[in-house]
Amino acid sequence: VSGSAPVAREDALVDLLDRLLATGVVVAAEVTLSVADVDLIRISLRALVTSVRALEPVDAAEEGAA
Amino acid sequence: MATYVYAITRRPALERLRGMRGVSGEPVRSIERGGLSAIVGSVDPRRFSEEPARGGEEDLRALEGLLRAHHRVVQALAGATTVLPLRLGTVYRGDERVEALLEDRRAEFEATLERIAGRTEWGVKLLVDPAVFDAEPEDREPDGRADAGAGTRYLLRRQAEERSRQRRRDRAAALADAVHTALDAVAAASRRHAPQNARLSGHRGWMPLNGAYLVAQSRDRELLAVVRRFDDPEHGIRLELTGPWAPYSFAEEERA
Repeated sequence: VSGSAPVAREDALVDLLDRLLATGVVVAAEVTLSVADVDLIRISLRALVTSVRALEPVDAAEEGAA
Repeated sequence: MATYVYAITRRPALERLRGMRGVSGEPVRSIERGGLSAIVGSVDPRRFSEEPARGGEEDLRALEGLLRAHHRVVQALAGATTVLPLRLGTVYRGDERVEALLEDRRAEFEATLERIAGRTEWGVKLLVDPAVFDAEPEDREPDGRADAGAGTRYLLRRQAEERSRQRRRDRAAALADAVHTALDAVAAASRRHAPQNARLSGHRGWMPLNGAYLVAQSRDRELLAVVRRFDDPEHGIRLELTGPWAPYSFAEEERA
């Protein structure tokens, strides 16, 4: 939370993931942070999501599949 | 030191950047060229490239820190000026490379800034509670024939439950399409993100719609009216509005 903003609601991490991991203008940056780091993180998130799905009861795991 | 680029804008709104810290805790500043400004910070490239992510809890926390720091800078600007967010983790070898970027891609950046000017991104999620949504009496009491044995009755009941569930799923999907269409009519552009994972979002039930809408600031109220019109918690239908966001979901033209 930055500065002294009065009780600024923090955006949910999951909403940030929607917006920041797959969006934004792609330019050919030279250092490979975007390639090395974010792609790996994206892969690990997918692994996390997959393992979470496998553990959940059917109702919760099927969320949004409608 | 390398140069991390957060966003491109025409008017850097420097007053919003005062005291602002970026993804490495560095001060955030502006590089200007030909009427465009890149919002940047100096970072140590090794900080990002030494340790590859492994997907553990620590990496997730590091990712969250990076996301939030990046977002804080972009969002602070978005409140004051038209801002074009760059992909998370865009790093150049130095400021002069960023100056070259502003020159080389100027026409493209100008066009995109024009497209998003005066518009805001909103998120709308449709959450459906399957326990309440579109329930009909026959869903709950499949007709059991008096002469059927317990096993048969059980099977009949399971089949009826499955049919009911499928029917409600289909209706939830149709409702999602209707909500999206109504929101899209108010928006200059729209996009459907994948439904969120329940473990990460903490939501219950189904999320048949996770939409992003780029809306002219003069039409914000119309969007809100659509959200209110469909919102119906009594019948298991909830619409969740997030935003205003910087136009992350619309920084690039939709690719078919």
